[in-house]
Amino acid sequence: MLYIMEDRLIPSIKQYKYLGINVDGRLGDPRKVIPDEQSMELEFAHFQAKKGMKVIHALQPFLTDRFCPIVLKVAMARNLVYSKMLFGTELIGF
Amino acid sequence: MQCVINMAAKWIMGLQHHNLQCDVMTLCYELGLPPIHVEMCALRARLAFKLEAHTEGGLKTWLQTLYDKPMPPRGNFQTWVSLTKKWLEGIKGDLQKYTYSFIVDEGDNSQVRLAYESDKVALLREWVQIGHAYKMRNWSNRYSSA
Repeated sequence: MLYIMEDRLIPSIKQYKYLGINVDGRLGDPRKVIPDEQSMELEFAHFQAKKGMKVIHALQPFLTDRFCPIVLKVAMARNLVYSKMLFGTELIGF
Repeated sequence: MQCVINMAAKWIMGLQHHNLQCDVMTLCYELGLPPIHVEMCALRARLAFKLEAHTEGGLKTWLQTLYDKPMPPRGNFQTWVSLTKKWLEGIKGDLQKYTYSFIVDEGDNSQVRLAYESDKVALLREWVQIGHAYKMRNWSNRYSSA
């Protein structure tokens, strides 16, 4: 579809990010598996996992510290890792 | 995503991330780290209930419009809204089914029977209740992170 304003073509994009979710043509059917391509939900899950991995690697010295109380480490994981990974996961849910 | 949590749980307990001697689900259970799919289910159910409740005119997003007037079914085309509605409909029967307690009658006729506690279910918020029901369906213990 072309959008024209004042005789000028408005450039269209195939993908954009909104509230942490990469919105593209697959949004209408996020579970559809196209050959040689990931479904939108799977791609989103991988993306979130990558973010979580980044956080736990940043926290690694803290998490592997033997002198730090376990309760504190668990609270840290719940507050920093879960919240980061669960952002926008209403999309993939069950 | 669960792998990330598993790795964090192992590090917290002072294990190597490739350690296989320890069951990670048990470890997460002991540490109080809920499985990631349960959290995601609860989040999705929470959003669905928000959209369903329509408080103060509903959410100010396109999702509210799409939820109120979902796209008519067209073959195998499954949108987020249609999948959510289908899932919530399917899980409805399980909401109270798995909240039970064991009662042991003492005496000569000792027996174990199940008792359903609907009043306990009512204490949970609806979306947590759905996450809870989902978890109880997948697991076979009475642990709750809600």
